[in-house]
Amino acid sequence: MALITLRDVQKEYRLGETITKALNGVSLDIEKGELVIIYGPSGAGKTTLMNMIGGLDIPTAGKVTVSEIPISTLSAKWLTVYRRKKIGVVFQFFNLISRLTALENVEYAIELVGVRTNPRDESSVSFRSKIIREKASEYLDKVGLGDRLHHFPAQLSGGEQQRVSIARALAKEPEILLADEPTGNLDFKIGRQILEIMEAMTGKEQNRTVIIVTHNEAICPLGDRVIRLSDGEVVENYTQEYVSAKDLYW
Amino acid sequence: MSLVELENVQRVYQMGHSKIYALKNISLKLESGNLVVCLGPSGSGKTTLLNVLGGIDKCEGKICIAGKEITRFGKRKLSRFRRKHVGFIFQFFNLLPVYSALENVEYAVELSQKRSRNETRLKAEEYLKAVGLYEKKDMFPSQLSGGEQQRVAAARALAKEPKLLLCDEPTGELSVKEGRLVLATIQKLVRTRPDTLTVLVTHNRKISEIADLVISLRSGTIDSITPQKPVDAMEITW
Amino acid sequence: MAHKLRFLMIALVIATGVMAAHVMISAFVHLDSTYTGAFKKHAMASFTLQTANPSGSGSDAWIDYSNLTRIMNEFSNTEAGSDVEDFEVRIVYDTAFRVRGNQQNGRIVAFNTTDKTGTFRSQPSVNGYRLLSGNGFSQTSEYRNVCMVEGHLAEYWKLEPNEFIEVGDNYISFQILGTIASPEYLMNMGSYADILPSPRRFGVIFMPLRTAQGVLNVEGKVNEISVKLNDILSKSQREQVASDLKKFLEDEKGLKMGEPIDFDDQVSYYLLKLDIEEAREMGIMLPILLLGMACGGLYILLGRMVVAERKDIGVSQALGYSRNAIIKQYLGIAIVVSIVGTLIGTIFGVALSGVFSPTYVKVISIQFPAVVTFEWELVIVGIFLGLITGFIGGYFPVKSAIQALPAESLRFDPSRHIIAGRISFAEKFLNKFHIRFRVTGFRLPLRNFFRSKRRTFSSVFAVIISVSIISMAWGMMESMDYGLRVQYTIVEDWDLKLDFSEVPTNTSVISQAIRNNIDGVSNSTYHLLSGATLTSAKSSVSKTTQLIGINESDGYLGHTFRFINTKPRGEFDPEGVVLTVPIAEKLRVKVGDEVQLEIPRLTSLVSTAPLRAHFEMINVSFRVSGLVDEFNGLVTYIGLNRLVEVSNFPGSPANTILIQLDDPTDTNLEYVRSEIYTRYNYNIRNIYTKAEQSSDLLGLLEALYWVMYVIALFAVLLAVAMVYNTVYINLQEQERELATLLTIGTPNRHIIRNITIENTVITIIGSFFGLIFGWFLLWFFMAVVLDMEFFRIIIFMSDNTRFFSFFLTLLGVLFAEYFPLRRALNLNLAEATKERVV
Ligand SMILES: Nc1ncnc2c1ncn2[C@@H]1O[C@H](COP(=O)(O)OP(=O)(O)OP(=O)(O)O)[C@@H](O)[C@H]1O
Ligand SMILES: Nc1ncnc2c1ncn2[C@@H]1O[C@H](COP(=O)(O)OP(=O)(O)OP(=O)(O)O)[C@@H](O)[C@H]1O
Ligand SMILES: [Mg+2]
Ligand SMILES: [Mg+2]
Repeated sequence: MALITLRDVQKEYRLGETITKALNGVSLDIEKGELVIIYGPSGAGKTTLMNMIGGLDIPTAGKVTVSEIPISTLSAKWLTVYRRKKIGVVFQFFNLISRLTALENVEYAIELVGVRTNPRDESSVSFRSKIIREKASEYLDKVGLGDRLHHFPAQLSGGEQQRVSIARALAKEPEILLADEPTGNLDFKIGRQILEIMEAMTGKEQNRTVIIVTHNEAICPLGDRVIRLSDGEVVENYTQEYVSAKDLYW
Repeated sequence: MSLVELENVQRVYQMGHSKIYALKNISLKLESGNLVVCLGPSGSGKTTLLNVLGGIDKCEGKICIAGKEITRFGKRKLSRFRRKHVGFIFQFFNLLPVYSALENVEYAVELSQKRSRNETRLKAEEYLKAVGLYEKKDMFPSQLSGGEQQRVAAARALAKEPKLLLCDEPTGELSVKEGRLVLATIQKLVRTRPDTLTVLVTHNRKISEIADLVISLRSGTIDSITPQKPVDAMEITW
Repeated sequence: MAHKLRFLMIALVIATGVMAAHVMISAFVHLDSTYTGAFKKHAMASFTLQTANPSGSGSDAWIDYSNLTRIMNEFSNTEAGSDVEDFEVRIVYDTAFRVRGNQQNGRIVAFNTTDKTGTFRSQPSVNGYRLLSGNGFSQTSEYRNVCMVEGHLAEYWKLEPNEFIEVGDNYISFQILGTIASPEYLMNMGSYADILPSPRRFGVIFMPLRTAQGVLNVEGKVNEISVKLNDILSKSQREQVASDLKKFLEDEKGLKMGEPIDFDDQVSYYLLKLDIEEAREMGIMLPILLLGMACGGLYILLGRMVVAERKDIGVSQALGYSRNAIIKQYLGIAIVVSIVGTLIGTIFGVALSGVFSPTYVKVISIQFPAVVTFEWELVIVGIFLGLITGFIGGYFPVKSAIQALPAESLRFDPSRHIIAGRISFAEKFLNKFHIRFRVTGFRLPLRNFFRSKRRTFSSVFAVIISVSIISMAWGMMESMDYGLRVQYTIVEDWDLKLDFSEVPTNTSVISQAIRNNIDGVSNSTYHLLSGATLTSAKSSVSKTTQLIGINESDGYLGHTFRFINTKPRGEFDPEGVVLTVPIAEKLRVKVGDEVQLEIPRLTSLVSTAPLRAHFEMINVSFRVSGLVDEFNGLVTYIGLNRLVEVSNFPGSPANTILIQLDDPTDTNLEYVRSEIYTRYNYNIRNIYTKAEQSSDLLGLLEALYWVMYVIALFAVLLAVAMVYNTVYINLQEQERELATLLTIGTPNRHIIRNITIENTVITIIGSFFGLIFGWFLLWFFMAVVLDMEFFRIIIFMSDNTRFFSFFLTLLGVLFAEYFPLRRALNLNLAEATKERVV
């Protein structure tokens, strides 16, 4: 069985009389280690679909299964556990915590999954937090923000905020990474750098699953699988011989 | 006289012991009737440039718009200046959550111009149509997807038909098709109103093709200023 | 920072609550130990027994001292008297004093300064005293005209040792040796006939027995026995001994005795208990109110905080932080706040109670030193209360505010209304009448107002609390004032009141003479005041009350009845009785029911001037003709003619004359007063004006006023703090939107106008409910908590108070608006519009 399966998933929003179908019967399978590109125009339901897979929202109808866990029927409590253990999210709207600096925003996520420390080492609190700090700054460095560690979100440019959000998701080293428009506010050079990092996480090296939502057609070749959404329906779903991020250009 | 003149404009942030130059010694003259695209990588100072032009950020140096030195304006005057002459498409939209898409646009129109309610409404609807959002006009920001919100923000700025239109990454959340719609609307406004100036900020090189003038920013300084023959927005792709 | 300040504010409210709880409750504990200590130390009598007619002359008034001592010793040796530990035979006699030329009523208490073996003693064996200043009796005091003045009287006149006081009808000069406190007179009160008199109307002096016998012309006699029994006896056991003694004295020794008065029913102690009961309820309710407010404040603050930080919460949830972990995080804040508050409160509470308890004991004018002890239990109770407050105030708002799905929390705005795409009822309503505000006009505040239920509710709630508490606090004082005003402008329908020393039997003649002979007097009548026990014919519950016989034959009652609504309507029926509400409630009687009145009936007359007679007690049935709710809550009104008729009195006995003037100016009042003194000086004890009497009363109520001022002050402070908090958060939450508006070019004055309108509307709506709730609180405190039998307070709230509490709250709101608004208007717009954050 595939790692992620969606069967006839629907999400409706009721607005008085009218019903908006953000997702209208989506069925798909995603294998472990795949890099999936979800592509579609604005309002197609990409974010909504991602929320379903990430356990951030539940469908109105249909079934979502991840690692044979029926996500769509989990209680709020177990959904939390699921998100903690398996998922990393890059939000379309970044959603940084404004009271925390870039570094602290990333630490906050690492804190959650914890760090492995050698039990024979000094396992003191300060030691642990030092490790977390190092790890957080390592990831911020990776996305090119080594010199912006202590900026608050309001003191960062749009693209920089986006990269903090990416670093935060990556730092959790999740089994499934969900990235909503991760390059929307990034220039080509940095954007490609980010995609390279994500590519490295997949089957090719670490066997994690990465799902990237985008409206940029130029990114599509990167995916093992491309899913095209329109008006809440899957209009295209194909696997392909992927092109390495290094070779992308837009 | 140029519509916009910048003289030694600097924006420096003090972070602890180090200084960050978001804008460094920028001097620039921009004529009305132009669509200026400002290109640059993330963190190069694009948003900062728009902010100082729009009078919502302070800076060193001198900025004159239509002969008036806005860097010397007080709060009230600045507020009036923004109300009458500036349209802003924020990188992050900043819609009013209690107002529907239409009301958000109406608000800006009503604030800047004396029109009857009906005219205001028609104007707002016209621009929502132009960016392809007429069907969602009664939805609230919280019900709109990212790209939809961005288009409402664009319509809000455009509907004012301002002297100075400042667009920060107006297609960041949009696919080519929708992006073109927005860019075309912007282009149309510049063409039909030669007394206005549009500055559009992006990190996307392809988009710069629609400009009359391309300014390249790097680490807060101007890399190059290149006049060019603009391509029609509906014909570009990325 | 701002957050910290607000939490500190709530911590301080909790501290105040905990402190108040500790201070007030321990004050009662301390008060309790103070007077039980005094009772023990000064051997307060277990019961007293007076002769049948203690103020008369003759065999039922006076008993031979040595004879009675012998009989008492005899009784102690019987089976029934085996629990008698000690006894004292004394004189307790009510008479007149003259202090510094002012006439006043008073009581003589006289004990033998020589013990059985003939040696001098300064303290009696039962019902002792504590010397406050000067000296006690000495060996040479016996037979000499020396006395000790009880503290209340001494304090009122500021009497010092070595001054003189004139005693008895013949005004014999007595030298004051010292001032004392007596456990029998913890409160200055002598009988049920006169409840909480001012020290002018009732005061006590102690003198040597021999001296008293000389002054009263009753050589070798006494009229009272005070008995101290073994402490372990219960009330019913004590009563058994008392009735055995009475029987022994009457049946075997042929003496005529009155009813024994048990320790618990001793009038001053009884009243103290009633008083304390009310104050104790207040002492419990006030901290609860404070803690309730702290709890509400915390609830609102945390609730708002959670809403304001909903996106942070959503992100945490999305990252995988569990709901419980998040709840714990916020609950932690609440708990820390309450721990800080509780600690501060406890420390200050313990420290302050060392000061407060003695002050409290002094304020209720107990003349014994306060016993201050450290109460562990109360500390623990305080800590418990404080923590509970934090927990409740923290847990519920957070729990209910956190959504299960992060996608919901992460939305732009959590308003259900707006997410559901509905417009508010108010807007629909306005649309119906084709009222559509402009988007740049009132539509924005209107939308904002209905933006989220929780948000609006919390603001309105804060206003409700503020308005209700301010109006309650003010209403409390107004009610007191109003009660007194009604009492003295309407109910007490006289300008001058004359007290007699002895009950004359020709009062109607005197009254008529005053009316006819003195210029400016328009009306006069007379009342007979005494005490009486009432028993309901139906429920057979009984109650001792003040009995006022009203002379109805002059066409002027001197009293205006304010009947409460009953069926049939209340009226003053000279053949029936009018009861005050507390009595009716206690006896469970309605208008038309029968009550039994125990009244003395004259069996033989000794003399008419002064009235000296022998009585027996009889029960007479009266119909309740009306119920009144007046300031004096323990009064039975009866037609004087009927009373005189059934009690077989000669003539027209009365102890007060009420006089009404055509024009009661100060000069006229003085003129009439001096005229009466010069013409009828004989037997007049005192003449008061209404102003004098009401100011005496105000003096007595001082302590109560104090409590209310403190409550009012707190209320205003807390209310404003609370409103400030909510308004502040509301605005802070909107900072980003305000920044957006500013960047679009919205003028400052638009923004200020919109927010002011929104807040004013909130204040108006909140005030509406707040005033209703304030009335309820007032009713609760005045009618339920402070339900005093002897002082009835009419619940009253003036329009001024209503307006004032609205206005003060509005002021608080506008004040609260100022700082965050100023902040928002000076925001760094570049930063505020750039963030793509929570
Ligand atoms: N709470 C809501 N109420 C009503 N409609 C909603 C709600 N949330 C989303 N929608 C609608 O559902 C549709 C899909 O939204 P979604 O956010 O998934 O789009 P998207 O594919 O992510 O678009 P974008 O690229 O613009 O972010 C949109 O048309 C949007 O208007
Ligand atoms: N308040 C601030 N304090 C400190 N540094 C700041 C502040 N605001 C911006 N900066 C820095 O100034 C630089 C320029 O920021 P700006 O927002 O103009 O970039 P940008 O060109 O718009 O980038 P992007 O395309 O990523 O939005 C960035 O490096 C940013 O970190
Ligand atoms: Mg989206
Ligand atoms: Mg930018």
